[in-house]
Amino acid sequence: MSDLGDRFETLLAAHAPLIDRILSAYERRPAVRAELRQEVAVALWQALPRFRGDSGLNTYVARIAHNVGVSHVRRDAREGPHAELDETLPSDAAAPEYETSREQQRRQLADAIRTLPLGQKQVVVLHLEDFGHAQIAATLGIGEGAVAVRLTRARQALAAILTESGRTTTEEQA
Amino acid sequence: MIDPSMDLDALKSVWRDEPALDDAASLQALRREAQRQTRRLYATVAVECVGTAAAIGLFVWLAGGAATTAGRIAYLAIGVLALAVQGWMLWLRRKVLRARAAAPHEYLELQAQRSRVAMRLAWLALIGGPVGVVIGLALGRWAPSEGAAVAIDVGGRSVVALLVLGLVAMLAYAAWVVRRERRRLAATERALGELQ
Repeated sequence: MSDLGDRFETLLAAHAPLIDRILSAYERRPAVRAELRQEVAVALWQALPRFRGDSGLNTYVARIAHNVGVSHVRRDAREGPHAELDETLPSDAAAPEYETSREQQRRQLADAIRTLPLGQKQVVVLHLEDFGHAQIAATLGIGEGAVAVRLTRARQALAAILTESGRTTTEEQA
Repeated sequence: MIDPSMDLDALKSVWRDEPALDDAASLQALRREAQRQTRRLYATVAVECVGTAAAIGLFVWLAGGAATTAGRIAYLAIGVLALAVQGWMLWLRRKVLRARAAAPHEYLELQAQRSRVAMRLAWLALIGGPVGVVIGLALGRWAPSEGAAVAIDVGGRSVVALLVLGLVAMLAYAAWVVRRERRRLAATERALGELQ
């Protein structure tokens, strides 16, 4: 395999979880997310020869995954809301009653993040991925000040969303 | 349930619980897909260039059969104009052809640029099509070419019908492209605004 092919394989394997987590902030449906993963992989493959190494690989991969996510949101907005999926269709996600508390928390957090405005969503996801302010700024092409502002707003919005979803769940259980 | 007062830093471990990818995409399939997309982009440009070359050939042929020197020059000038329009189209597409994934806002700007270029080219077809017909008719009357006369004599009405059908199809397609790209541009600019 060529040097480029080796680099690509290593890159994809090492960053697969990061890519999937970023995409989960844009898309809930596992089947659509799988398609987006392919898009990210294709975009990475196409962009790899131009990677100059002036930013970290994490930053580079996250940027491309976000690009694909943004493009997906844009496409979704253009094509209108999707028809609700048939609930009898098999899903790769565990049924809520079999989810562990940890899985529930993860799902609740991902659901909350998906409802954030685009700019806040990107910043929060990268913060949760342990990116520093400078790295987030480099990934998104914005200033560090803007990162701090968006993060503060996102933190407040997220707390409000989680409070609301907690209240709804409690009412459903009652 | 997540405690809403929990700090974002405390949520990092919850967030990173996402299971790893279970179906690693086939590298070969990805390479094929990447190559297919690149080929499609260049194929479009190649088809346009072939079309332009055919148009230039046609005008040179018409110039060869023109009865007067002025007519010959006029046909050749239209051929040069077709070449210039093709060059302009390539120049408009230069950024799109060198597209690369960058920061999200740059990516969206590229999408917007793509839509603007497509709209410009569609407008060119919408305006240039009828103008071309008018110029062609006027030129045919003012500087008749032996070649065109022979083609119409041999093909008869079917040649004219084919030209009219081609023109109508081109205009309908261009109008559809303008509408589609206008919608795309609006959606892209909304997303760009959200990112500001």
